[in-house]
Amino acid sequence: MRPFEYLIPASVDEAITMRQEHGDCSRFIAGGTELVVAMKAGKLRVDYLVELSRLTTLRYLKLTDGGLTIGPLTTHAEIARSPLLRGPWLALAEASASIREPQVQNLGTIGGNIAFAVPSADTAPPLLTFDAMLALQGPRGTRTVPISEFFLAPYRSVLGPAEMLVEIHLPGTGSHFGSAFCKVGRHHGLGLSVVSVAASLELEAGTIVRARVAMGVAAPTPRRVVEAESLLLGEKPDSSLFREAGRLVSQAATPRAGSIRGSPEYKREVLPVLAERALGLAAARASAHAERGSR
Amino acid sequence: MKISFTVNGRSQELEIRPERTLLEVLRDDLGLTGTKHGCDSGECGACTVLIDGEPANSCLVLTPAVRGRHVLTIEGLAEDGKLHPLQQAFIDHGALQCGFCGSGMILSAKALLDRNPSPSRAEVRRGLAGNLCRCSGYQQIVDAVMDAADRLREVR
Amino acid sequence: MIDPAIADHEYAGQPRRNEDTKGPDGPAFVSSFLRGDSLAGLQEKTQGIIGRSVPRHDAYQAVAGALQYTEDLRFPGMLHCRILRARYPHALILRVDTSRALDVPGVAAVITSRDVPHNRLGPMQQQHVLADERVRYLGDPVAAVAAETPETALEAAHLIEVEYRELPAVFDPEEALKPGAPILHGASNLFQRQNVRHGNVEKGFVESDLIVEESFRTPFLEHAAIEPQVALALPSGDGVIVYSPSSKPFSIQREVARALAIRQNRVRVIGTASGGGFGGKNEPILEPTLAILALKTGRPVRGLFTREEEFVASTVRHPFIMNYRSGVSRSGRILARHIRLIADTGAYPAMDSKTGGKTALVKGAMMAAGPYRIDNVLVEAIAVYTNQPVASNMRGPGVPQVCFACESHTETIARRLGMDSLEFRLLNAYQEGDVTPFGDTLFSVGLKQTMRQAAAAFGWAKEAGR
Repeated sequence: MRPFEYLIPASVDEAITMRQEHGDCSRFIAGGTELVVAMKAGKLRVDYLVELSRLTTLRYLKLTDGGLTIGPLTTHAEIARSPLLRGPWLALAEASASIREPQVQNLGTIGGNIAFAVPSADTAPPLLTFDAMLALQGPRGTRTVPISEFFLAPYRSVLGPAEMLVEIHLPGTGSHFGSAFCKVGRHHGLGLSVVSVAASLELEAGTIVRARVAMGVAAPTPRRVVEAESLLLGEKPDSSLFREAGRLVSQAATPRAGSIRGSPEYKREVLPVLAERALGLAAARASAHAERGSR
Repeated sequence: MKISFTVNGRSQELEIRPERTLLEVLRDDLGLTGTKHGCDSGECGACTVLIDGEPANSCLVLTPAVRGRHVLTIEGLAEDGKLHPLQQAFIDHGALQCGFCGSGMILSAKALLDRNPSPSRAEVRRGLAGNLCRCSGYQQIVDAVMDAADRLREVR
Repeated sequence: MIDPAIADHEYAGQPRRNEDTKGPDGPAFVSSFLRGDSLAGLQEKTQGIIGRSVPRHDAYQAVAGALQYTEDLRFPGMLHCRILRARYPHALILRVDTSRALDVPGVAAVITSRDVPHNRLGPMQQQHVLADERVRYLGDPVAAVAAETPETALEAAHLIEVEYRELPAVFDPEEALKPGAPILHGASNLFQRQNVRHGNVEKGFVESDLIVEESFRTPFLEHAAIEPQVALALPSGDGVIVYSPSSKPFSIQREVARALAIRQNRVRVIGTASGGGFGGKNEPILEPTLAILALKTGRPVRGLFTREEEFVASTVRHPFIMNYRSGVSRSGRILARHIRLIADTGAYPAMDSKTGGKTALVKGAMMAAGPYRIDNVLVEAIAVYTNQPVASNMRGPGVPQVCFACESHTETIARRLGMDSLEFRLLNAYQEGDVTPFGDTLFSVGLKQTMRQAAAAFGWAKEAGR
């Protein structure tokens, strides 16, 4: 790799100052699973790396006021195993668990997955269905951005220069809430995603009162499919309803041609199946969640 | 940069350029060539080492990131010339053909068994999913890990 | 030297097996070989090893991480080689200027075709060590750099200026045979023809109750051994030592000596542990280049492919286009089979020592009709040049392609006949003493037994609700 300087900040503030000082030729590095690969391939020119991995205050999963906050340095392995993600937010654990390599699960972080704005970031579709709020901190202070406004284009987000993702907040849910993440991967459903769907449903008296459906690797960025969500609202869970929602997901997809992972035709063919499956699981989990009674 | 870390139980203090990966430093500076170089992108797992007991692709780890940590490579697994039950099981079941995936495979298996001493075959496959083997079809590898799990449980 | 025996081949079938042309009895043959004194001698030699599980001799080293593969070898003063490859899939080379590369600190040598004493490799003598006037695929090597680190070598390689005149390129073998297609070698892109003829397919089709025709395609496959292509050369006395994991060290020795125009006894090849070959580590892809650099610099030089180079610049399995036409009787007997195979052999004949890359088509043609008794078979197979990576050997060259096609075709035929496809196979399968369409007599034939046992083992009858 091209030589660079490796800077070790003692705090988030110091990390931001370091980035500010070195501008465009500097980058944050957490697990490095995206960054180091890109640098080795000569796709990224970096003169200064600002290490985040030892900022242990950013590595946590905490229940707060009925919601959940996640530190950006939490690894995929920690997310896949966390007991806090066994309930309403199971789709997120499923997403991190779908990374094929345990080695990459150990190194890779949710913050890196989101901030790098990879079109195939697995944690993005579930977070979109949870209406996650992202706290960003930069030289001008902190701001909060809903995840639906975070991604702009492949590898581009609203993060400004020297700005860092410092927290992910999942709002509290009702007591009948379920989610699921389904994807097509190359190794028995694991590995780099070919296409994915996340769904979350909230039920009240057996009726869908809140629906979110998001797709991954089916458009320039991970995104929700509002048309499918509107269809589901006010209805009772039903497989033909989910099938229809799946068709809307497929119609909304704008996958790019020329991807070696999957053709647009294949993705459009498979999306309704993934959507129906994810919605079915989300509905079943929402009912089961209700039966457990707690939240 | 001066980086101090432990490799196979021994302290190392090295003056290295930060852009050097842990894989390069292990192989070229410390002469520990048991960890292999397969794909440079964290896909094949041939470069797997354990960092504080957890498997990681050393080709993706910049050496400064392991300061103060404990790194275990394949060379550190046997103790006083006595093979770890995993290594013995790999021999007994003919689990290695060309052998190139072996170091990474054995270390990932060790981490798996340390976390889950009684895995099912499916759990073994899931735990080794980050280690590719082009020779074997994985069957004897899984047999070896299941057998090693038995042997390790007997010892405990 | 070109092997004159590699000419266009045609195998003629022999009369169909009947009782009085029975082949040798397999088991009897083997035991007669072992009869008498030789059996005792053999038993003594094997000392009871047969039937026992014996660990491989380097098992301990392998599990301890002590087995030395080529990249594990270190030598004082060792340099690293990176190769500059073609910018276009088909182009003339007008000019190569290495001066800027030579100026990079840490670069010990930069070579081009001018530095290669005999710039032709392989039995066909059509591949070059480094391209002289023309490149024919994106992996085609144009120049090589030896430097203190691989990064320096790569940086220098990017500074080599090559002026090309781009030529039209062709990427599909059927396109490559059309009039007006860009020609890669000689007068036509036809590299090889291989036919198998037995009986009279037209007659067979006339007698058939049903004719089924289908087409199949298979893509490139890359061996993708976990260890990439790698080799190391160092000067020694008046010659060179080459460390290589190649499966064919004598062939490497011959090719290196010839490329360097030195006597073969000045080239010593040491076979190193291979991190996976599968047919992809047979050919002198790196060794001649490294040997030239080693002699030029007076230092050891190691070459190692990146994973990307493995896909672009190492050999691949031949893509096949396969057209199957079968005539069957209502009762399910195959009466005639006409097969057309088109193999994409890539930009050059391969450098495989014996056949220069012809094996895949020969074996494919031989096996194309499947393990079935068919009185009338015609296989017409050709291999064609395109501006794609060079195709050569990979695990059972030619056979997985035709097996996929033939057995998929079998399922279609069975479905059209309304027959269980296992029953269809059993009805047509080879038996002891049968003669193949290309004239071999078969003995020790366990095909039907195997199919029945396998079907029982995986619950064929239950699965299909039969």
